[in-house]
Amino acid sequence: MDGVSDMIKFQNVSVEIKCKKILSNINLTVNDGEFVLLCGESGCGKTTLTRLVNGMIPHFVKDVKVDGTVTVNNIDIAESPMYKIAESVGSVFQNPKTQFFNTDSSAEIAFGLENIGADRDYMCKRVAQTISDLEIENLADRNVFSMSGGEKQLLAFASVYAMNPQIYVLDEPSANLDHEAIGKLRKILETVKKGGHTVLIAEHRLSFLYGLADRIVYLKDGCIEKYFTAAEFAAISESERIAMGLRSICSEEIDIPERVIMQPDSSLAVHHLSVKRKKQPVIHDLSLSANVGDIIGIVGKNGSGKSTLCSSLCGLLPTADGEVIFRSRKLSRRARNKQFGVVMQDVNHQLFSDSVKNECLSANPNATDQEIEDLLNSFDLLDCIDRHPLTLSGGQRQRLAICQAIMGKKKFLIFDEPTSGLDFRHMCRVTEWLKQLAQKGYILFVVTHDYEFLNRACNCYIQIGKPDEPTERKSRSSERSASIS
Amino acid sequence: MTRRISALDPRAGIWLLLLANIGMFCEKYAWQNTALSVMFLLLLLLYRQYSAVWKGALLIVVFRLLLKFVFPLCPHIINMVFPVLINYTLRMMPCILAGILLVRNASMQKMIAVMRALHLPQGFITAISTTLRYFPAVKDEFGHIRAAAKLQNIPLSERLESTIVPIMMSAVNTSDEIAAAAVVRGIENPCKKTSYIRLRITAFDWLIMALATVYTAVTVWMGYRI
Repeated sequence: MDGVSDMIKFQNVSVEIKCKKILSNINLTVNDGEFVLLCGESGCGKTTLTRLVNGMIPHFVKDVKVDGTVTVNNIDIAESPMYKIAESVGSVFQNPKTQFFNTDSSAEIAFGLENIGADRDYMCKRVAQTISDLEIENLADRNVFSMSGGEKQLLAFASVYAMNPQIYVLDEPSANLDHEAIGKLRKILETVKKGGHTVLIAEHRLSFLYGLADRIVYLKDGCIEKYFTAAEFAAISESERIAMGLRSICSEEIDIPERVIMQPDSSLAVHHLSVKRKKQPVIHDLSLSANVGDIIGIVGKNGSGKSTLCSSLCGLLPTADGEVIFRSRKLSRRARNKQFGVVMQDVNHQLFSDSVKNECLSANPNATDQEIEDLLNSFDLLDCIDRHPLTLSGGQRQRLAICQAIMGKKKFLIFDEPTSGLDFRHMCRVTEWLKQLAQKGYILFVVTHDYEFLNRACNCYIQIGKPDEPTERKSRSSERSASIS
Repeated sequence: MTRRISALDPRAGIWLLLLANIGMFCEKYAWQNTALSVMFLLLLLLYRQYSAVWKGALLIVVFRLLLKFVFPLCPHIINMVFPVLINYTLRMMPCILAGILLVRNASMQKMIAVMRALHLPQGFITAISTTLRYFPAVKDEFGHIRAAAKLQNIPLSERLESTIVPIMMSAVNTSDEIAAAAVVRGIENPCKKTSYIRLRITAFDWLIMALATVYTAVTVWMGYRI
């Protein structure tokens, strides 16, 4: 018997999903109590590797072919039912909205324990201990639907922690979190590590894991390209990191000016805007100004009102007070509906037609074929003109949503978390598109928690609610300036 | 000092829903239906569901007035369709109100605990609980799709047709994610499940059940006597 020192073991593992090779010949051993970070560009196979450990592959994901063996805590994953694997492996996914089952947070923490038929007294003890260990007293006995995304993600983690699995598998748990929630997530991971648990985490945002990861596995095109110790990883140069397509290893502070003063003669002016949701004030007395070509970052904690502000700017929500003025003319809600375009975080929500061309036509029925082709060409989409939008890749869909807004003659574009879950290369591409659009005379608003992106893409920012307090490793300004591509 | 009434026990809620169904099937006259609806409106009032009370009451009054004063004056074509629809809605009103009373008082975890206490098959409980969890999740997504359709100036007449694909996609993705999160937390475990929520049926719940049973029985019985 191997004993427990080899907690996770991949032996010659190759994976094909829908006849597409995702992983090739993976050999990896994770020791008991080790904290391993999986990194690499989007599509390199990080998520697939985590799914092999929690049993989603081969038990849950369809059309999948796996060669080789994966053992976890001496259990052969392919041979064990999911509920057996769940006793050893706790999983936290990317989307906090779809990871809870109960409306009451304390009952949610006990969800996994209910499933294994734990005694009620033990459950009560475990729930209380989880709340105290993870210092989440503010989350106890709350309605889950009233929680912010960050709180929901911490709750998902707490629910897994209560089951006390030996192994934690996390798939981009920080993708939708603000800096404060990421700081809390880091603290929880520290507690888990101190408790001697094994952690396997796939992430793009690397800075919050500094000092936690014992070993870093860099994947490229479905293969393990390189292993790093924590010290080796911290020592890699900026140019090397960029070549590897990785996000910053250090956390970044906002390095662009905050727009706090109304600029005279600005094209767009928002005066004393107040917005309510369910009769509760969310935005109070906000004023801002913007000029053609501005890219303005909108930052703030989860639940601070960034989405409310955007919905109100677009005219989707009524304003309780204040006005929006463009070139000395007050814009009604209807006018704002017409002039503001949004590129949503999940672009699938806004693609309605059966082809890329028709998507552009639906935005502007009078557009000529030539106009559509020119536009699609400028966003590298001409080859896909007859394809169904939902068959495009994530990046192509995002670009199509931009084309749609341009076709619709929008003057202002709002981007909601455009770099959520993106690697460095894709983040730089999004930055390029935004700059191109600004040069063409659009006014852009970008809602983001991603300061690395904010510093590169935006020329100023506005803060909604109280500022975030990052708890990650701070970057040196020289590192940052060197990494601007 | 006023004492706050604790939420209705889900088992009591299910009993009231059963009474509403029995009442609906046994009623012979409109006044019986109104009497049962009034009972559930009073119960909703007791459990502080004020919005449901006034909306339900308004609907009943408007529908009764329409049936009594407006439809008799309307052309035959209107009388062929609408009174039937309204009559059926009114007939179902006690059940609708009892359903609201149950849903507003019993959280999902309480309902699951009740189903486990009633020894219902695990497969059935899992299916019901994931379905109940699914609707609030997709509601949020549908809101985003509606907003996107509005910003693209898609006419109302075309909105249903154009939003159906993103709605289906979002529904499929959401159900996949919820199912994945449930499965990795051992929902398929065949062992006997336990409940964190402790159900306590209070003396007040018993009193409510008893009064409602007597009231329903008397209402039904009077219909047969007349």
